[in-house]
Amino acid sequence: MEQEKRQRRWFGNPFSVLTDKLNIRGKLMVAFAVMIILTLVVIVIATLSQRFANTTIDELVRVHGKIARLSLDIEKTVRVMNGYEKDFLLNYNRIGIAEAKNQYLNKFIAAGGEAYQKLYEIQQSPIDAKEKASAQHAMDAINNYLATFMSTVNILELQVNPEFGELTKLRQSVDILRQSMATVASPTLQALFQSLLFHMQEYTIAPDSQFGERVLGEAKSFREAIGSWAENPALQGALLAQIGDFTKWFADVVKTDETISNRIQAYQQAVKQAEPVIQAFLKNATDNEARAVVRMEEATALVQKIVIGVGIAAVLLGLLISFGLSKGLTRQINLIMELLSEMGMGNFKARTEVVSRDELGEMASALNGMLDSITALIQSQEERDAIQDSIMKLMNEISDLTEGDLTARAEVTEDITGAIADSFNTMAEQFGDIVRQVQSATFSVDATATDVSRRTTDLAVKSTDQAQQVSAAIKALNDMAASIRQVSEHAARSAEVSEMSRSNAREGADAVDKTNRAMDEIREQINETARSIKRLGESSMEIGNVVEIINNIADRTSILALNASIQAAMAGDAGYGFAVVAEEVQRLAESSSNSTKQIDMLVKSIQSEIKDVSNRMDESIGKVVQGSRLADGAHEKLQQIETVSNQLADLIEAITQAAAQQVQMSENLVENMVVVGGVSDETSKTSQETAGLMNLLNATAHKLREAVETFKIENAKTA
Amino acid sequence: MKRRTMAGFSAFVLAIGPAASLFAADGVVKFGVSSSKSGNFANVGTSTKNGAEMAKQEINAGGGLPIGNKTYTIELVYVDNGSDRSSASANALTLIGQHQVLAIVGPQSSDRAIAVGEVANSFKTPLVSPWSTSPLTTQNKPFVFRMPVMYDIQATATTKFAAKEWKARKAAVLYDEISPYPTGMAKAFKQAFEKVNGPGSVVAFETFRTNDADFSRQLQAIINSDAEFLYTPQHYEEVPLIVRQARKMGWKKPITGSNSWSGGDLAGKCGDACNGLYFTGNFAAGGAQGKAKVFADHYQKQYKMLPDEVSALTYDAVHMIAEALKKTGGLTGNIVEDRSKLRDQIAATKRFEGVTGTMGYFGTGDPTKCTVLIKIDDNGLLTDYDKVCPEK
Repeated sequence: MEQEKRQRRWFGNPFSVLTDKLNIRGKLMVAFAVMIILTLVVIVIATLSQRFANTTIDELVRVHGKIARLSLDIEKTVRVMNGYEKDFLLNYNRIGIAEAKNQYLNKFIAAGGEAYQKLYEIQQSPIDAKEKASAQHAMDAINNYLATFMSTVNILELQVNPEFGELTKLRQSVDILRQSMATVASPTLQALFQSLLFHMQEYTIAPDSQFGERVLGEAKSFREAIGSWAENPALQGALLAQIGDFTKWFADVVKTDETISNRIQAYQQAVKQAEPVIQAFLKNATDNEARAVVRMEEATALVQKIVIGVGIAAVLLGLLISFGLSKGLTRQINLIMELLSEMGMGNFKARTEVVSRDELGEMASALNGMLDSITALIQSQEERDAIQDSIMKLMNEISDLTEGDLTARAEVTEDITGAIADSFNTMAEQFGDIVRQVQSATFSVDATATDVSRRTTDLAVKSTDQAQQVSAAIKALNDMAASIRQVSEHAARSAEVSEMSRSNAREGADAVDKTNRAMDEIREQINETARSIKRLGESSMEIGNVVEIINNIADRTSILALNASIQAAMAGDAGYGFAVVAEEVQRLAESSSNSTKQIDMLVKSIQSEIKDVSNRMDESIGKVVQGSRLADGAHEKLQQIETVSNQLADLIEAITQAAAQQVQMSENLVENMVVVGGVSDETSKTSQETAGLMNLLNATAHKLREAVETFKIENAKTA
Repeated sequence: MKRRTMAGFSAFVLAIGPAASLFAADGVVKFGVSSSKSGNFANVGTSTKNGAEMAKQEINAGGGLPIGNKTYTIELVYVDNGSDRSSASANALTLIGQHQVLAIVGPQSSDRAIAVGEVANSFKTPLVSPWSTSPLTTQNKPFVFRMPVMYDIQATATTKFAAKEWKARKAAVLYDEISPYPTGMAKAFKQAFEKVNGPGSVVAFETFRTNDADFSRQLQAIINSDAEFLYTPQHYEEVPLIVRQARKMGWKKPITGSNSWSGGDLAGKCGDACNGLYFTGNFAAGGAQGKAKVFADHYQKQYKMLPDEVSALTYDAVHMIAEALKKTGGLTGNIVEDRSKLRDQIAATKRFEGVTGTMGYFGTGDPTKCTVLIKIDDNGLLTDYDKVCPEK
């Protein structure tokens, strides 16, 4: 029976299981303690969640943000390296290799060093092994680019250095050959030399190994021709040595040209390989940042859920506690009322169940004991009837009490119920006092509990606000990521433009080069032509003089012959022999005259040569025209480069603006974070208020204790 | 049980002797060594490795290198630059970027040292060239240091010596115009000599190109001039050829040069033809005293040959870097920061006593130290003949 009751209590109210051993004060203390603990738990959970969210933001901003920024920097540095590389190749001819190394190559290497340090910084960040490996990959790619370009410059220097470069040496050997050849009259050698020079020009315009072979072939046949030329042995020896020098330098130049073109291919290959590696690296960094943003969003959502869940749990638990407490107090009263109603109906065997161990429970036990005594005292039916009547009367009088009206009083009679009525009245009075105080205490508790729950709701709302602020921060960060991406696109486009400007510039440089070479050739040809004309003029003048002299001689010989034949005729037979001589002389004069005619023809042929020369002059003029056209072309190309450079400048401007926007975004982010800080301040203030409320609850509990203490003293007196 | 394992382990460590320090150390510091294992300077490469290995073994066998409150063992990473500028630059990038070395020792010849110095400086990695004398190697490069005395000091020493020893007032010069070291040395000598003996006192200034083997044209011009001695700041590959060809063509006057003579086996390659010649340098095994003598004996015992200038300077370079590392007071593990700390300490070196003499950097990349006048004696041994020290 007792067990059964206990079981019912187990299922009835779990709260009472914990509290049924306590008195009313104890129960109230437990209830308040639970409320305080609940409030504290809510505050702790909210704080922890906030810290968790902050840590996630830290991870996003400090690690991935930094890596993304460094990656962008690295990509920019590689672009800068590309720029220096192009500047070097465009300008080394103009400013000299030493200056170009100083101005561009050293900066190129320095940029490589910067990229290395940034990549190392990334490797030092808390990132996983895969990311570390990809940073190493990018580092290796950039270093490979550096190494191949430096080696290209080294080989280039061997060729173009103004002190010891092969080109300088080749030019010097050609100048020496020219000086020597100016003193050689042999047209065959001149023709071979001109042809050699022509083919060399051809090679300089298009440095191709086939042209190179042809020049070397020309040099060989020139050398052979000199070898079999016997007019001037001293000059022949010098020329052989000089053409030997020329051949050596030219062969070196051809070899180096080939090496250079191989090296250029190698480093362009390296650039091509480095590009996708760095792009992939950059993309990876951006992706990681995006993933971190998603993680942060998830964390914030989780925090929101936890805060709401804990809030709801706290409200439910609060309700359960107030329900349990009120039920624990009223249940024993109801049981006592049931017993009294049984007694009213004359059932003195009825006993009440003792469900609590507090003061009400003691009262129920006392009633049970009293009923035991009453039952023993009642001897007869009359007594019982009388007692029943008295009790019925008492019941009527105190029935209001059962309905909660504690103002009802029983009449105190002489009989057995008088004492009961008296004690009932006293009890009702004191009970009324207690209930009044309990009521007021309960109202206070109720009000406080309402307040606490309102504050908790408030806290939940603020936490939600906080979560929204955090979301705003996320959005700003997203925007930032978008603009970073935009910057990267601009950078990519600027790379294309730079590529365009490079090719244009290269064409321009080629065109200018060609023009220059054509000009050189023209100058050379004009010089040569002028010399030929001079020589021819001198020759023809001399020939004219000689022809005139011969003509005179022939004329005079003819007259002499005529005179001689006249003299011979006058001498008669004796002059016959002389006449024969005169005739021979006459024939000689005729043949002289014929020779003069032939010379005349030769002069005519010389004139035709002069005409030929004038044709060559025309050709030269044609070359000049071609040269000027080429120069025009170069000019136009250079103008295009300027336009492209302008576009490049615009793009860079756009990049700068995007960066400024990025800065603005960061400021917004900071502002949002400040708001988050404010919210957490408020949360702390609310906690303080809660603490104040707890003090109030404490005071109320004190009041209740006083009330209950009063009850206890009366009880002792009664006992 | 555990204690017994530890005891067994200690016994094992003691049993294997010198390698014990390997287990005792808290970590490893890596130095890169850029030298020529192949190409024209392979001989210099061997000397580099011998000198560096000896210094490393001494430090590691002595219980490692104490830096801050930890002890480190030294590890050397060798790369072969193939006596070529481009390979040397590429190798240096590998040492810095992949092996993550703390500092680089080498390259030895200025031709490579200038190019690699540029890279090391840009990558903020300390580089010590044990043998490069060209001013360009360290110029405007705070991370680059050298061990030997520079061009101008050697040139002045040679000028003084020529006046004292041969009463010479006219000189002839023959050098490789492509390689930076001979070019720089030849120009520095011309400047120093003409400053003392007047403009035009260098009566012949002849050039050739790397890998040339026939110098008859240039030597004929020198013989035709009235020079009193021939100065040729070339390496051990060319000097024997030049000396032999000059003697064959009838040149009987002195031939002298700079510290490039001491790298490699000059006396061996030249034979008797070079005996009795003088040149300026940093170290000679013959006539060595004190610390240098101990080093020379130890070296001979280990490698069965006498140390040359390159091995001695390389040995000093490794010890000098180790001393600077001790002074950093501890490594952070971040290689970029540690390299900067090391650079500052090397630059702050005031007095380092090495086997090639006592030196200090005093904030620069060039040491303040004495020049040695070296004589190739009648047995072909390089001997310490005289010293010219900086004025204090």
